[in-house]
Amino acid sequence: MNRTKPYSRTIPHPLFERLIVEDAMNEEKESWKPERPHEYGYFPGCVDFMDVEVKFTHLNKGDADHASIAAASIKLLNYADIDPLILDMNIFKCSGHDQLWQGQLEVFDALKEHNMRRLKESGIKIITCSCAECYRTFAVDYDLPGTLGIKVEHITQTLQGRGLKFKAPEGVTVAYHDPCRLGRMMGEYEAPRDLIQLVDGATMVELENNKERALCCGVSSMMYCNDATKAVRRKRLDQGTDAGIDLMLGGCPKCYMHMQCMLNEERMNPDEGHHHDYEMMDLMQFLVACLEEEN
Amino acid sequence: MAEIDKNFMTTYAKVATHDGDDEPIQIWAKDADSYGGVGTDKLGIWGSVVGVDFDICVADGACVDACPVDVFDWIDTPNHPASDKKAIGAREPDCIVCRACEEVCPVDAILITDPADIGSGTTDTVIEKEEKPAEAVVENQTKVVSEATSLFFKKPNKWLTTAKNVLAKEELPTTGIEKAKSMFKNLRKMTLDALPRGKNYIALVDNEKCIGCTQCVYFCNFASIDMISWDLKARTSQFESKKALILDDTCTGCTLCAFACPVEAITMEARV
Repeated sequence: MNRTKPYSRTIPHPLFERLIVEDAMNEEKESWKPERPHEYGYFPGCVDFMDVEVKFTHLNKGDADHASIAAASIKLLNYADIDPLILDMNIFKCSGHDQLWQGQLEVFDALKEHNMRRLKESGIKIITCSCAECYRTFAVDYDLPGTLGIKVEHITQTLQGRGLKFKAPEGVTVAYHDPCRLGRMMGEYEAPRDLIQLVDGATMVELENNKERALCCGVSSMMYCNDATKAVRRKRLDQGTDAGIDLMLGGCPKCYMHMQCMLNEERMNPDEGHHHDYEMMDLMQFLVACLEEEN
Repeated sequence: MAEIDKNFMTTYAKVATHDGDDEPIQIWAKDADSYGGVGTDKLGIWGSVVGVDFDICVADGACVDACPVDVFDWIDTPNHPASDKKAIGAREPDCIVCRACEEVCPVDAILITDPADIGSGTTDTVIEKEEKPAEAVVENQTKVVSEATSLFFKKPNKWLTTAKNVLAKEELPTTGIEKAKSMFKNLRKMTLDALPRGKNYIALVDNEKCIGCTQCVYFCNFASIDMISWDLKARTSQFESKKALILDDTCTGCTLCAFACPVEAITMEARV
């Protein structure tokens, strides 16, 4: 294990980032072909790598489960009569978003080269991601529409306007937390909100800072988590308490990870006196929970 | 529900062995009649260092996930009332006595005994008495941890539970969890091969390198790491935050924190 790279002194690498680097540097040459042609491809991203780390550490004393975001997305796509090709981590690699933003360019280039080759082999027309960071990376940094002619969508955009119906098992007040990559960078504010409006029984309220003025979850691209970033996150969570919500919904697995981590940490140290009486969830997990009544 | 007999090595008899990866696994039972072999409902305790009571084991899988050195395997045990497969300590010599599996087991079916205590404990009853306080300490410590973390389970996220129930109804494709798990274990194995470990070693933090990211706190199985604010002089010029402090009375030298540290600030040093 080579951890003495120049950047490792200034940027901390949680284990799952080390896993991605390890994966990126294993070159795979053999070609791959999907069993049958698909129009849509679904890219789950690195949720499983996150899960391995989160489940192994005590971060999982809560019930965070990132892999269920991928499973929920597949189920919702099937519900919308889309049969996606699953671009999973056995064949693809991480999109390399964090590596690019941390300045590990050689790792990013290795990941990009592998994924571009695989995407060419897959023959899909549209790629959809449940992760806002993957969405931005594919659309802007890979420039898939320009290079391979593949349209890039966030899963909320794919599911929008397909006449889906959801019903919440009980009345619930939710707020949508705009991920920076989906909102400010890609300008998509309405698709996730439209999806939440479709849920019968869910009341959507806006947090004090919303849309282009939304606050960050504090740990952009896994750069650093310290007292200052935790203060940003606590400010965001306080806005949720002020709005009187039962659930905060995000469009990015990283927002879910960091917010839930903070909620768990607060519950682990009750004597510090910070408490937020609601849960963070990914929008896909919430929609799947509201699917039951329909079937 | 009963838990594993803490003194099974003195009160139980050795009845059979089973093939492990490197060394055979000892099977213990109260007497020869209470062991029926695989395929019956009388299985006894399997393993000495990693003792798993197969009559209690419900195949939850928590130990398999928790083990940092990949000791456990599954073995099929048809016709057993508790579960039809069991977690077997197939790579018992790899055990680093970190007791993570003991802590996570939902039915308390696992007892880890330090290999150094085994030879003396079975032959000499006096030493066996000295062992008891050590086990009591471990028990207390486990209780403290479960009290601290029980808050989490008071209010489970019912929405996430609902979502998981909906997802469980259908077989959805996995997206690479097996690959991620095996890569994680390989990385862990590499760290273990590179570092000294065991109860004669303790993890030490270099304050100059520590950036206060708390990764080690989340990894430690024994609540053995605290974050401490030192005076300003002790902080590095680059990062101003709390530093990790490892408590020597509960550190077991399992190297998990050294594995988790992103800046190589934790080293394993021999105890003096």
